[in-house]
Amino acid sequence: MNCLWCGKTTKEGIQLRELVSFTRVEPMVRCDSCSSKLVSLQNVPICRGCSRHWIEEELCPDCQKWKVEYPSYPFKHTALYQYNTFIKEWIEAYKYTGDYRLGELFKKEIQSFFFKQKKQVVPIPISDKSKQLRGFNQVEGLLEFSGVSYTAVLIHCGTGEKQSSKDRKMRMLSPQPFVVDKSLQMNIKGKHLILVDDIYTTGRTFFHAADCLMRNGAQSIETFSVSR
Amino acid sequence: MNHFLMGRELLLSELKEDCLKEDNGMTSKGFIEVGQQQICRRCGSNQPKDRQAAPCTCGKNCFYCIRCLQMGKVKQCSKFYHIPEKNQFIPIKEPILTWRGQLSQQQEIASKEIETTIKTGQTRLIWAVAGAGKTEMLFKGIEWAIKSGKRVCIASPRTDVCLELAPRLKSAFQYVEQITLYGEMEESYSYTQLVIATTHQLMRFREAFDVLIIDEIDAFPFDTDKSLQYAAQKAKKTTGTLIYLSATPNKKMRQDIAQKKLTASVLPARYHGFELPEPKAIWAGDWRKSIVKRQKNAVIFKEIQRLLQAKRRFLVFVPNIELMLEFSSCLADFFPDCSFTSVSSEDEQRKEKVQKMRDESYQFMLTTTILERGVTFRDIDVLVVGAEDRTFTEAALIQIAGRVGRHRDFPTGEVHYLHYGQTKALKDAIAQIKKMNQLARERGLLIGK
Repeated sequence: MNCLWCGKTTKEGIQLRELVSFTRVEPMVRCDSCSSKLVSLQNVPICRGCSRHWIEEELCPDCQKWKVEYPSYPFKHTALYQYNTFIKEWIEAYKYTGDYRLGELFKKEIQSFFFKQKKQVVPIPISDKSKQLRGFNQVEGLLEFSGVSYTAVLIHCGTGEKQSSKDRKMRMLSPQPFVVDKSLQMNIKGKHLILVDDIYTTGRTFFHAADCLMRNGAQSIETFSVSR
Repeated sequence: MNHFLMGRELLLSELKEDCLKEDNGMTSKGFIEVGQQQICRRCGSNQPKDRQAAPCTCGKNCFYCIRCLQMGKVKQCSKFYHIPEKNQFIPIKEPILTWRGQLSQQQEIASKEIETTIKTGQTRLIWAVAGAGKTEMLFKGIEWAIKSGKRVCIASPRTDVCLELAPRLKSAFQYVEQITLYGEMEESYSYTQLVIATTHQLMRFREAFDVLIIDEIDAFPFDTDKSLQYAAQKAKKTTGTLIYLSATPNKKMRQDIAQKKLTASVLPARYHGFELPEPKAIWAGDWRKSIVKRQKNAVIFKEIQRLLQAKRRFLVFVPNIELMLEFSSCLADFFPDCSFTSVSSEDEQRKEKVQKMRDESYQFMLTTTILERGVTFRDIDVLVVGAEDRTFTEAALIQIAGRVGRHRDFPTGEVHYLHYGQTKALKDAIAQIKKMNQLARERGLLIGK
């Protein structure tokens, strides 16, 4: 197969287990060399609130600050990988350059997280301006490639200033950019939801989105991102 | 008039805010449709494998070009903005050419030929051996073009070549505004009469240049990348002049010269009048085994030892990075007192290491083919280990040999191709160098040996 990220060709072996169990062998997406550049957050101590690398039992300082503002929020986030150069380059190529193919890069991990997931999946929307520029919503792209069905109940009605172009202080001060699509409001009333974004940086986006959904009658909310 | 867009063809995302207010540009679609074919307007690719379908706000079955994606996304529904080149330059005060050097006899002839080519809007290849002094012989022609209000671009596939050219042109044409365009540039674009650009950046131009000069046409990736060749054709005006520079034109070009389809100036001598060092092919046996088994008596190690004892400084070319590292650790064991390093394309300290080699801090340096061209060291010899490897093409071997004896004060040196069986490329390379020396001798261009 050719690695989706670096383009190098590697040979794939079939394991005996796969052969005798007649399971369908999915082709690899990334080569081992690229995968080794990722730092997983799955089997390390993490903050249960935001999934960052964190050893203590209590919430991390960031989450504690959020707790002051959102005392009733459940604080349950899952992230796949730690933010690093590899993730940065991926975001750059997938989101900003707009290479749609790269939405498949974490397909397998996303599939296994959402496998047998009963909760309703809600992607974080992007502004019209960003959508014009990129042509697609990168979060929806991730879900489509993984075959995860979702309900796009949130609408971005902000000015479309990118979070990534602001510093931390400016991000924290940004106003609520989301509203719920009234025609889909019934789909979330009393439902358990999973909010999905590509990346969790300060948490500002997630908290705005979660706040908006709770006010519109969601029962519970947890969150998921590729990177933290 | 909107100078930012003049002679260029840009996507909406590449425009400055105020560009759109002045509505005097032309727009066109991202892809050109020719029958069933879809051709990317920017890079010219018509290959289905270079197109990727993706959801898009345009709602139709949209796709984008993967070939030139690095330059920004061209979608089927994209719009390109363009303003035809009108050559609106402020006349420059004389003298335009502020360079006061002296051309050699053969440079003088080529310089005149280049000037004529520019005046008549034709195409010419300048086939000049490494160290012939190609840049200087362009000056007269460029001066005439600038004086006549023409727009001139000098392009190269390699960023480092562009960055080396820029200051030389700046000092030769002190009063002419120039800009250097390359991938990671920090300065923003401005409209200038003289442009230095990587061949990738040519994709952003359309019918802009009256004179387009492309240096190192046989260098990667220009030699194999059709989209860059398309970009070059597109960037020059249809009536414009195209000048190719190369020390090692490919077979196709050499055939075209022979069949008189391409006009060429052949410069077989170096600017200092000494002949090119002729490489020696030396049988090195199974040199891979010698490295793995660390056989200190093997030819490759003896050669290095000989150069070290002679207190020479030298470059050692190896076929690939893995071998280079293995070889390097081997040499560190054999010659513990010797200061040397290795450098490759994946080396982040590449620039610093090359500079240190220039400063003579190292006795020798191991390298892959990345140092085959564009670099000059004062007084060195060269060894090619595994010269039969397929990475060492005829052009690569000639370029490598061209690293030796470039300086006027040190015009000689040794080039040894250490091989495990001579390839055609190796024999052709040596033959070609000999032929050039022969030609130089016949023309009476050599002053010393």
